[in-house]
Amino acid sequence: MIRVTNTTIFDRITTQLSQQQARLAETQEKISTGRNFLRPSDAPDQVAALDRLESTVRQTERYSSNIGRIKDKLSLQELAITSMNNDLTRAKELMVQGANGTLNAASREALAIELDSIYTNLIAIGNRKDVDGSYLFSGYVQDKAPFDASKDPLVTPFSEFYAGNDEIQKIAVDDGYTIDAGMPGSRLYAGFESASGARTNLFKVLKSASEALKADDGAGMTTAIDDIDNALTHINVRLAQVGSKMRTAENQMSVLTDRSATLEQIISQVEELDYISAVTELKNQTLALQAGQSSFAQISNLSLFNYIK
Amino acid sequence: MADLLSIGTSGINVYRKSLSTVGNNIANVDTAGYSRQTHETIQDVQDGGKITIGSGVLTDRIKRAYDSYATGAYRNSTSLLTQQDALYSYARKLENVLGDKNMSLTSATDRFFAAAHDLSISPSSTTAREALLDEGVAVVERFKSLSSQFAQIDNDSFVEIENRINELNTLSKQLAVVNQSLLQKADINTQPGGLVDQRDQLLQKMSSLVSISTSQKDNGVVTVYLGSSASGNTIVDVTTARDLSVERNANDPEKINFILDPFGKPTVVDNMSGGTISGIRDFRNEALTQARINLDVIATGFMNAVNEVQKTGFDASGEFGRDMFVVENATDRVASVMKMALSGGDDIATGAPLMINQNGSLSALKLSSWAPPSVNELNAGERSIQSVWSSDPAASIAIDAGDTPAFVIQGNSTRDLSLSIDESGGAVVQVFTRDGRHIFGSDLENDASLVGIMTKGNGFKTDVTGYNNTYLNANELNSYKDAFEITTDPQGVKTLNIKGQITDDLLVFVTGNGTSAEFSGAWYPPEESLNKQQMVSSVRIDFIDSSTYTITDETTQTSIATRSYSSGDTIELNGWKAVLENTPVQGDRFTISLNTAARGDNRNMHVMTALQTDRAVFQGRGNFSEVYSDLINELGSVVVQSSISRDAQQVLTDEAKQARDSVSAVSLDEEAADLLRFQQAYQASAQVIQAANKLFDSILALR
Repeated sequence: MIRVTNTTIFDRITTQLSQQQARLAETQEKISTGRNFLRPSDAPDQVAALDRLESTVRQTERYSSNIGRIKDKLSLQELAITSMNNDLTRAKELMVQGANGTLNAASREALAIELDSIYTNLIAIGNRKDVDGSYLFSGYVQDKAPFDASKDPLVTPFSEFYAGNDEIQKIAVDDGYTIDAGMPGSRLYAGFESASGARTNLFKVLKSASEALKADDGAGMTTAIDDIDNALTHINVRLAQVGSKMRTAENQMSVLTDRSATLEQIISQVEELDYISAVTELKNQTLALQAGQSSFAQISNLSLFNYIK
Repeated sequence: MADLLSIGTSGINVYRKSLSTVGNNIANVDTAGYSRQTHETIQDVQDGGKITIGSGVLTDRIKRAYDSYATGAYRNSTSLLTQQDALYSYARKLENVLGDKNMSLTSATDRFFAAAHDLSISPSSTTAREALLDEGVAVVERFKSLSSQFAQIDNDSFVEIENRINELNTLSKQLAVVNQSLLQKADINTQPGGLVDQRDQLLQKMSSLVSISTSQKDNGVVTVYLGSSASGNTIVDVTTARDLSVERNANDPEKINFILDPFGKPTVVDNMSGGTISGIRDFRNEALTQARINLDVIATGFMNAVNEVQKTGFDASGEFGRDMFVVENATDRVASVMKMALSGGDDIATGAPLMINQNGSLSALKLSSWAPPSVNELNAGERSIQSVWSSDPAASIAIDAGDTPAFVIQGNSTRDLSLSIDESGGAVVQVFTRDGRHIFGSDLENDASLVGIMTKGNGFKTDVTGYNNTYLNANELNSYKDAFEITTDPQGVKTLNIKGQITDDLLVFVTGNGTSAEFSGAWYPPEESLNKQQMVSSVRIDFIDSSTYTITDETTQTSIATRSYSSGDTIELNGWKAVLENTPVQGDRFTISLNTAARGDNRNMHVMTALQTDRAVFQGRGNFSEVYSDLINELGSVVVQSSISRDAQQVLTDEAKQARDSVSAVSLDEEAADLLRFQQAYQASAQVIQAANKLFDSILALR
């Protein structure tokens, strides 16, 4: 038979009471913070998983913001190309008018002046900038504007006329997945053939058109009209490409949004406290503590000395 | 013969002592380490002749309720408990440091990569460049502050160990004093109970600091040993107390040594176990060290990965990038001495080293990857032009297309040439100087191919007098240079070694019917930069039809190769690889050359941002955030483990204490009953005296 001494009784009770209080305090902390895990040791693998999930959420947000920038860029390109389209259509009209043999020198001069101003506008469009201040149509070259109005495209080969380079800027929209967001000036303004089959560029075409108009060169003007047609087809192909990239970007955006929503849901399932069960547990633990305390009060009163008077 | 009076008196005396003993027990009910005392009595027997009547009661001794096994078991349990407790509480401290979301390494590296993404969108933006540098500094700061938290815990734990060791030394000295008092008597049963209790209390306190074993003499004097067996290092040897001390290891300040008798005959103690001291030591050696190692692995991995990306890309000034992070001191923990090595945003290597000029082609060629080549390999029918090694472009050679040297080694920038030539493909390598001296290869005196080789178009001087084979393969007196040497290894690979500065340009040709020859070389300046130079040498790709293209060296306008192409093929040379976006047509021309617009180029930034999810950085274990999560996970597991162990040990220790208390502790109810009992016995003995008195009175009353 074990001898139970006073020290044993008191030791045991104090240990049990303090354990119960510790558990109660922990449950209370969970309830007040609303989180299942207060520190890694509560559930090491869950906490580690949470860390990773949150990191992935941040990455997804990162990619979404990248897509925003891509859409900005592509919108600006779309705007520019639409503007060019209008300009070239107008240029074609002017040339058609000019090719009509009934005009006099002064009228042709007037047409040429408008044609020249279209040329200047195209240069200006080519030198447009993105929201962050970089040139839209310059490839990677950023220290100078891609097009210079003072150069003569009939004399200077395009590789010298165009100060930018041919590189297309890629922007990441997911792990290992990038979208070509850039449009180098060489791709937009050059890369198509003239009516005669030679490779040419927009500025050369317009300059030749203007010269032909001023010189009243009928054959030249007819060639110029065909060349302008080729140019229009070319930039519309580019416009369509910009449009399809826009759609790709938007599709990816909704993929990312869905992913983000799923991740957030998983995170909250793992991390957020189930209040109902937590409060129930709190009640149970409180009850246990109270029972322990009141039984201690009763037991501690028992002593033979109470009866020996 | 004892009379009634003396018997009664003996009873009174004895029961007074019994009552005092009971009173003592009651008074000491809460004294720690008190062992219950009982007054043992024996009969007083005197020889009486024919019949013997007992003479009363005598005190035998004061017996101390004591079970040495239970006491010993309680001591051992205590050692194990305090060890787990110390481990647990320090592991919790460490966990609080690492688990704090504000200290999370992942959030700092995520911000770094977010800035890299921003930079990849606007590579020419000064703001974006500066932002990446700032985030790089923030990552370094985060590593450093985690590191200093660890250092703080290191320090705190060391100070606590020192304090505990001092406590232990004090206890040892006190025990020696108690031993001294115990020496006075010969038998433990005659020792004062309080003294032995004091001895046991000291032993108990010592065992909470470190595991001890004891050996006891008959009079209760105890010798205390460190560790679990009663042999080896003693800290109390009867009346001698030996001090312990702790110091940091001279070679590795993170480790600690325990020294016994530091001011007498210092001995290193390696069998300390149990107790708070071992618990803290175990924490330091295991959890803390492991956390430090893991952090360093992450720091090194991050640093090396980012630096690699920097060095393969071009910075804003069009040169290969430098290391972004360096360590100030190679012997310290990496995480504590990392430093940002770049000074300005322009040092960030956002660009690729090459750019491709599309020349208005209808299809588009895009660079997909690049890496400096380590070996110059020639395929059948191909040439490699490595003509521009020196920084003087005027030193290039005008060569007629069709008759070409394989490559040229520039004299004024070459030292300590070591050229390995593998002719197992059947080709023969011939090395000439520009003035016609044949210094390596097979004798061409009567060989028809000599005529085709020694032409001005191939780089030979206009006034070359003729073929000169005096120096051919010559090593000694007649050699081209004193330091000329040819060695052949068992596989048949020849190495041409020329030490010192080479003043002549060397022309290298490949002749014969073989399919290929392989060259690798070590040049001065270091091969690494020469290989990088080779990677960026200008080449031109021309499509002669949609399934065939030629590669031409732009600097010398010499043809390198003609290859066939089918859709989806990679075009590669000199270490770079490129792909075509759509079907090429005749006349498409692409020029690959040194990137002069690296400032606005973001291709290397994509490589940088890809690091965030790259698992290869840590040999497939995971990417940065996963490896860091693992670190936290590991630590959390240590805490859980030690918490479970501690709780289990707590139960065992409680039971051991109960077992000891069950023997030695005071039960008030018991004492209350004894009090009553001895009171009655005392009163009864008093009555005996009263009766004896009455008897005597009746004798006195006789007249």
